[in-house]
Amino acid sequence: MKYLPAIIVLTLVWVAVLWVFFSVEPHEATGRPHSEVTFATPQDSTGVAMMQGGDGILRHEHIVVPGLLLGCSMIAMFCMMLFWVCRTKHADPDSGGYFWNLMVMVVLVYVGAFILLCTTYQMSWLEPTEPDYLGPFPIATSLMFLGIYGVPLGFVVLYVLFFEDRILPQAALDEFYEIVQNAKSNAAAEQEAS
Amino acid sequence: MEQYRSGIIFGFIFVYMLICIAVGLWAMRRTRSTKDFFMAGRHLGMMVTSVAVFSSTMSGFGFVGGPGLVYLAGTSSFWMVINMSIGMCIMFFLLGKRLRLFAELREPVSLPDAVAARYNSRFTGGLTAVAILLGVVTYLGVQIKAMSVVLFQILQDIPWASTPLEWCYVISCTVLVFYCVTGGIIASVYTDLIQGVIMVVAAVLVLFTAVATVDGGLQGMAEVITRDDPEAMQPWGTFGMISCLSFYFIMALGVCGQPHVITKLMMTKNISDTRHMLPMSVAGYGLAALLWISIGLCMRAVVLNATHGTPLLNADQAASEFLTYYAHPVLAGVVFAGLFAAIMSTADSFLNIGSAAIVHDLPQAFGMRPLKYELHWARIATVVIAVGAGLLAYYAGEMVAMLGVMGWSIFAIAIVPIVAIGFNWKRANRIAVNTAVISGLVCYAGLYLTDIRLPYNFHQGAFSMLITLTIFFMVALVTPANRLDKDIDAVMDL
Repeated sequence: MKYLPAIIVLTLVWVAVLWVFFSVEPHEATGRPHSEVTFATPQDSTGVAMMQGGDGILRHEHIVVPGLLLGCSMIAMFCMMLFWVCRTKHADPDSGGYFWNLMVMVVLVYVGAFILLCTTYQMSWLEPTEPDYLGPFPIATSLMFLGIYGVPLGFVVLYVLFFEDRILPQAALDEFYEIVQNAKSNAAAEQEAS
Repeated sequence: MEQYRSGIIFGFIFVYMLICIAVGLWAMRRTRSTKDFFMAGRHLGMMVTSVAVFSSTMSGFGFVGGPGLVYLAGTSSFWMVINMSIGMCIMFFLLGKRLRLFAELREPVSLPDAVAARYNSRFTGGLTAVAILLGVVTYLGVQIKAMSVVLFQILQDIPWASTPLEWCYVISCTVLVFYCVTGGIIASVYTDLIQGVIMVVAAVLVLFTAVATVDGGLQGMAEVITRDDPEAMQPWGTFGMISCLSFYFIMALGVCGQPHVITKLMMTKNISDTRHMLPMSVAGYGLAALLWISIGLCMRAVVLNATHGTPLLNADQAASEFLTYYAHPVLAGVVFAGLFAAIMSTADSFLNIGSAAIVHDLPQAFGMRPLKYELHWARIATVVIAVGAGLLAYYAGEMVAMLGVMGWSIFAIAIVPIVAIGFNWKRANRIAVNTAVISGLVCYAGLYLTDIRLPYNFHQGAFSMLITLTIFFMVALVTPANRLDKDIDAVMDL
């Protein structure tokens, strides 16, 4: 039961990966050389220098759901690891509820940003050449920066703010120095005996 | 000033290399023992370590290959950058405190040393050392090659300084070896500090230059690229969703498997320093990555809107063409110094952990006694590794570049289960880590060397990593946990 969350997350990642592997892969699903040969392979070039994505619907239609599942389960795996190591022995019980609520909120926003990114991207298929902009980039791309890069900064803030309560409480540090002291005196005693 | 462009660039690089040599000489006076040479005597300050962590993470690939990838595939390569916020979180949450506690408890002089203590197994320590050495020689070879080729190209444009490529290899290896041999990891981290600052300054200046180059700035670039190919500017770029997500997976999890980065977590003076190191490392990397994004987008836009005379022969020319045609000579000098900084900050860390693997970890794995003059041998090993990697890079040609690309994944597959998870999970045992790591490495080598393409270009390293994690988890659950030493057992509870 203790390992159930890890088993579930790992299973979800595998389900998503296998679903992708057994989905139909359209021709040029991972891009094609630029249609204009001068950009793609200029004279004297040794390989493709510029690629194009082509038709977003065609190359993504079979992996919309498994792709979404893959992204969400990966995020769940990363967050689960963070949650796992925050369960420290000497953690301050008073700040526990507050800390976990904030952690869960960051996770929800993180997953929400990823789902929003995917759906916004799919909406751009309606009018691919004239996307709406959020800041300097198309909305979905800006969401990638704000959501996928930006939201995990929430974990950074929580790490700094709750370091002494959850990550390395003073009591844990004191116990650690005691362990080091004992280990050193045991080693010295063993050396003396030998 | 334009006519002196090459001279100015050379001047910046020359001064930068002199600084590295001076740091080496300064650090030599502070290096008195093996512990100083490999672990900086665990006396590093928070700021120095934070900058060293991010500058070692951003290698020359970020400065040359990164912009090239944006030119080639649009936003797809952004997934290799944006993973760093969660990647660094995973690294610091899982290892920031844990490795530092282990470092104080057992005083290891290297990562495999800590691994051997954690698992009470010389074989597991040796396996980690072999994986490190394998990744180091190939990855280092690529770094030395990149440094030599860039130096060669710069010197070609200066009539009085034109030098054959072979001599550029010699110069690159000599500077690198000099400060690593004299000052060990102390020289390495203090040069990392200078290198990190140069990288950040260069990246910010490049962003402003790129924005000023295209009408409409960043949005102008996005519009030009979208008109040509809407997918290139959407979040999955030209490679598509699955490919990007697999990059994201291996890069985010892989950060905590990079031995040259995580070893630095054991070197801080105070255990609590990790608290402020996380935000500083994330911020530093985020700023340095601006160069990756801005040059790539700018070059793709100027080629597409025909502002740039001719399309690039290959994508890796994006950075050098940008600096030649759009950057002020002084900025080009700073960025080239930044490029050398990015390469050398990674290479010096590799030299250090590689020499530790040879003179300390592998002899211990084979049950040999510690070497009598370990510090002396460590310096010799540093020279041997640098010369070996340089020769490999020179003679193996494309093969070494191919193997170098494997470096990140090799480290991730080997180190993530052994260290990142194993140091936090008591149930992780020797059978589980050894089986999982060997299976993962064999799987990855098989997929990569036989060039098997997975559906939707799912990254081979990401797939192998998933296999490694699954085997590790399953085997650990069905086999009994090893008995831990009392002190280690107690520290893992904290």
